[in-house]
Amino acid sequence: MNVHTLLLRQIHPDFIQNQRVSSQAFRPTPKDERKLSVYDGDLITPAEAFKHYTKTLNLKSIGVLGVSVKECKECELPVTPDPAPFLEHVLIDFSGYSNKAIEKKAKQLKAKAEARGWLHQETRA
Amino acid sequence: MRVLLQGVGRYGRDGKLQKMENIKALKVLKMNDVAARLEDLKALRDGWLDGDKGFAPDKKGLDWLAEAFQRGYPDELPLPYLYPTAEGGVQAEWSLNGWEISLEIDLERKHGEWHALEMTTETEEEKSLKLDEPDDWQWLAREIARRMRGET
Repeated sequence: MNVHTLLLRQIHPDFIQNQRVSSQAFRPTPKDERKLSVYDGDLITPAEAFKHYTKTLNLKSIGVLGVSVKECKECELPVTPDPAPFLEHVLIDFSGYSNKAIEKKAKQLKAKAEARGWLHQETRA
Repeated sequence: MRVLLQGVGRYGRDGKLQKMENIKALKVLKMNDVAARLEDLKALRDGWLDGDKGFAPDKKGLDWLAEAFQRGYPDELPLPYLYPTAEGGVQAEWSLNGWEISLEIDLERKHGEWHALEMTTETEEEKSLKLDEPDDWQWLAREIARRMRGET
């Protein structure tokens, strides 16, 4: 993983309305201990990450957006590999920030990810 | 396009609508119609967010929010996007002239946390709102109108 590595974020279908993604998609929930789960884009493609998330982990995703390690650093968010759950698992660490600061950083990450565009989207039969 | 249809329907044993016996009213809904979106959120169940996370929003709380928007939010303003929160609340969001605005709503306390971020300058504004107070809805409407006009 280097500064150019893309971090792949799965987008929950309830965090999208009329094609617009909520900033919550880039904000850890209270149960996440202020850490946001992503996939290491150097180790897995967006399509493979989507398949792993929805089929192997059996969790809901409507598609994959991505931010780079560099963009996280610009937001002063440390990025650390966390291969315990699975090899490609990475955490973006929001620890130590207030809820308002987290909201700001989530909005900034979402904007960067949306500027890049969808890396993978669910295909319907 | 979404429509609101009022009438008498016939349902099958599977609970699915089979046919309409008569139609009393048919209304084309605006994009992001608040009442329709909040009605959609009533379908969420506890655990909606990845199984072990995500409390379902309280149905009475969603009804209160729909009424509060109808009463306190002027028709001419852009409708917010509405999303459930993991804590069982609702987050309203607007993207207006470079501002990313969010209002995190606690349905039980009838309380909102307003956060507005200008994406280029990183100017931030925040405020706690009492959403059972008409004055706070007026403040919210003024802020949205101001952003809509591109005022800083």
